[in-house]
Formats: sequence, structure tokens, C-alpha cells
Amino acid sequence: MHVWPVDVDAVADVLGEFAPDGVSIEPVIRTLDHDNFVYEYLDAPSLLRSCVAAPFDAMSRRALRRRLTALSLSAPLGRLRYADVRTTDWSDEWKRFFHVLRVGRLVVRPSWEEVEAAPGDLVIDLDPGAAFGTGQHETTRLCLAALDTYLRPGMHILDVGTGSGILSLAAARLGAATIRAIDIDAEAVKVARENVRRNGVENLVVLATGSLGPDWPWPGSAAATADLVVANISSNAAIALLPACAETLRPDGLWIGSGFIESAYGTVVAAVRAAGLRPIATTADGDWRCLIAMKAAH
Amino acid sequence: MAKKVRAVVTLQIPAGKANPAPPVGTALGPHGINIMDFVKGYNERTAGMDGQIIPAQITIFEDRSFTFVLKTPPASDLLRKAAGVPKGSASQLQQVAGKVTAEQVRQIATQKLPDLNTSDVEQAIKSIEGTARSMGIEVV
Repeated sequence: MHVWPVDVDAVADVLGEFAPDGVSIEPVIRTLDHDNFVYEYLDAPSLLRSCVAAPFDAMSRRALRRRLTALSLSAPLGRLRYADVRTTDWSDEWKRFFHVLRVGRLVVRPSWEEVEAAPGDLVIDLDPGAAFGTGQHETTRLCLAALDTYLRPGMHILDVGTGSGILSLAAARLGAATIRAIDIDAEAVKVARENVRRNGVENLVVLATGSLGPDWPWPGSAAATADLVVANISSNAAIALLPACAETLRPDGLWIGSGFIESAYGTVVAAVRAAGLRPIATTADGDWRCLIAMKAAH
Repeated sequence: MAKKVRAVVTLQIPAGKANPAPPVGTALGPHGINIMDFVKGYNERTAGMDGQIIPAQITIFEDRSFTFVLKTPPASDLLRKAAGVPKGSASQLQQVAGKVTAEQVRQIATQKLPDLNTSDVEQAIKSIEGTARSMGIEVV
């Protein structure tokens, strides 16, 4: 049923009595800033759903209705809709959304899908979970493609905002000598660590919670330690971190940045130049952009 | 990372007892997120809170990855505890009415403040009073 936000708690409370497994509440949101994932709740009815044991006969339905009408809600009670829920293995349901993904030589494979690897294929084993970077997003694919194009074997890589670790895994498969991956989200680092282990590249990828600058997680300076920095983060974060990224790069080092849309592109290019980098290529997928820039060789 | 929010879902479920069945499955399944990952994470983080309804707010991103945060118990739960009103049961005809003091409402509002759409305690109090009114709990 649909319920106005102010009444959600009271209605959910009653539904919870009839459905001991709980209630789901789906509010209506509006994205305010696509680039920085800011959204607001709209003052519109939220969808409340709960699951009651069958058979939920007419008497039970009347009882529920009575309890709900006894509440003093701010608006008249909406319609109660009933639907049979098919028994399904919900724990596997989501898997139908994920399939083998190919980007250049890179092949991202979920654990339940078989892949016939062609010669030259670089397979990454990755199950989506609680960290960004499933390969389903344009920016992840843009970064994978850029790594495929620009990463040379033997390079030292820094992955800023690693999420699931997907870009670090790609770098490992593409022949990077070492990869340092950071994320400010400790949960993401946990997920990434598991993915690194599953792909057997613990010897190449070093992970830590942190960022550039004062939150640099390793002893010693980050300066001039990387041949390639990849940062799939929001434009604000990218702009804030660009001077530090540039400092991390060796001469001729490359910066691959994505996570911003067309409207923020100009600002990112300006920040790239201000940080002493020279844009050398831009790729696009829908609204999303990926910028590749090089540090001057002196 | 470049997260674009696809949907936000709140699940009011018993602490430590999440499983892939509804309402978790029906709410999260259509978004294509890894339900077992959520279930494991939720149960781990709510271990030891048995007997309470601990809402989880799940933010689902466009690439079907997600994050979730635990919220404070629903205002209705806190109000009922403050009023000393037992949890209703499906067989009851009416919610049992009760009373809470303005001070108790303020306490609940303060506790819930991080989860509400405002940083103003007075606004939060109004919202809690609204829930109390809906439930038939009187503020005295």
C-alpha cells in the first residue's frame, strides 16, 4: 500500500504485527546531483510492503483493515493491495542481472557463469556485492577500456577509490608490476580484499583504507611512485585529489579519471591542467566521460 | 566512486533474522542486488540486538552495487516503550492507547535526530508527535 511519509512509521508498525518478518518501505526519491549521488526524499507516498502467511482470509484482511483505520493518519488510508508471492529462490534471483562482460581483452565473469576464454582473454572473477564496481556502470567500463589501452606491463599503479577492486584486478591481469589500491570506505576495502584473494593476485595488489594526502595509509611519501593513477570517483573528489594524484605520478605518468558526466567535464579538464597534467584523450559512454591525461616529462 | 543512486529502500526487520525471503527478497530482488551479501551484513551488524526491529536503509546504485546503514528503531517502537504500551498483536481490534510526556518525546526526537530529514530538534519533536498521534498515544 502507499502511505504518506508522515504516516509511514505508524502504518509499518501495524503491518509488522501481521507480518513478523518485517516491512519494506520504498520512498520516492529525486536525484539532485547525478555526479555526487545526492538525492532528496519527495513528499509523496512511499510504498509499504510486507508478506503475510497464506491463507490470509477475508477475516484477517478485515482485521488488518480495522487496525489501520483505527490509526489517526494525516491522509485517508490508501488501498490495500494483495498479491500472491511466488516462492522463489530470492538469494539467486539477482544473478540473472549479471552476465559475462567483455571490455577489450578483459572479461569480467560472475562465479555462476561459464566463460569460453579465447586466446588473449584476461579473465577477472568478480561477484557483485556491497562495493561499487560490478562492471555494470558506464564509468567502470570506460576505465577498464582505458586501462586496456594505456597500461603497459611493468607499470606501477595507484587505484584511488577502488570499490570492489575491479580496476586493480584488471591492472593485475594487464601485467602491472605493483598495484596500490585505496578507498575511504573500509567496507569496500574488505570486499576488494576478498576479490583480490579470489583472483589470486595478493602478491600484486596492496589494499588499504585511506586517501591521498594526510590520509595516505602507507609509510613513506606517495610522491613520484606511480606510472599510472586510475580514479573512478565523483568530479568533486577527482578535482580535490588531482594535485595529489599529479604529485604521485612519475614524469610521463598517466592519470585515468572517470566518474563524472559531460556537464562536469570542463571543470575536470581545467583541474587536470592546473595540476600540471596534459589531457591526451577522452572517451564517452552515454553522459559519462573518462579523461586520460599525462604528466609532463621533466 | 561514480555512484548514481538507483533506489533507496528501508527494511524494518527483526535484528539478526534477515533472510532472502520476503520482505527482503521482494524489495531487493527486482533491483538485482546481491541479497545474501545484504543478509549476511545485516545479521552480522545486528547480532546481539535480538528482539528489536532495527531498520536498514539500503542505497542501491546504478550498477546494482549497494550500501546500507542501520537506523534507530522506528519511532513507533520507541513511543510504545516510553508509554509502557505492550506491542500490539494481530488479533487486537484496536491499538492500545497510552501516554507519553513531552520530555519523553524530546528524548525520542533527540535519539532519532540523525535519521530524520532535519537537524532541528523542534522539527523532529513535531514529527514524533505526529507518529504518536497516528498511533493513538497522547502527549501530556
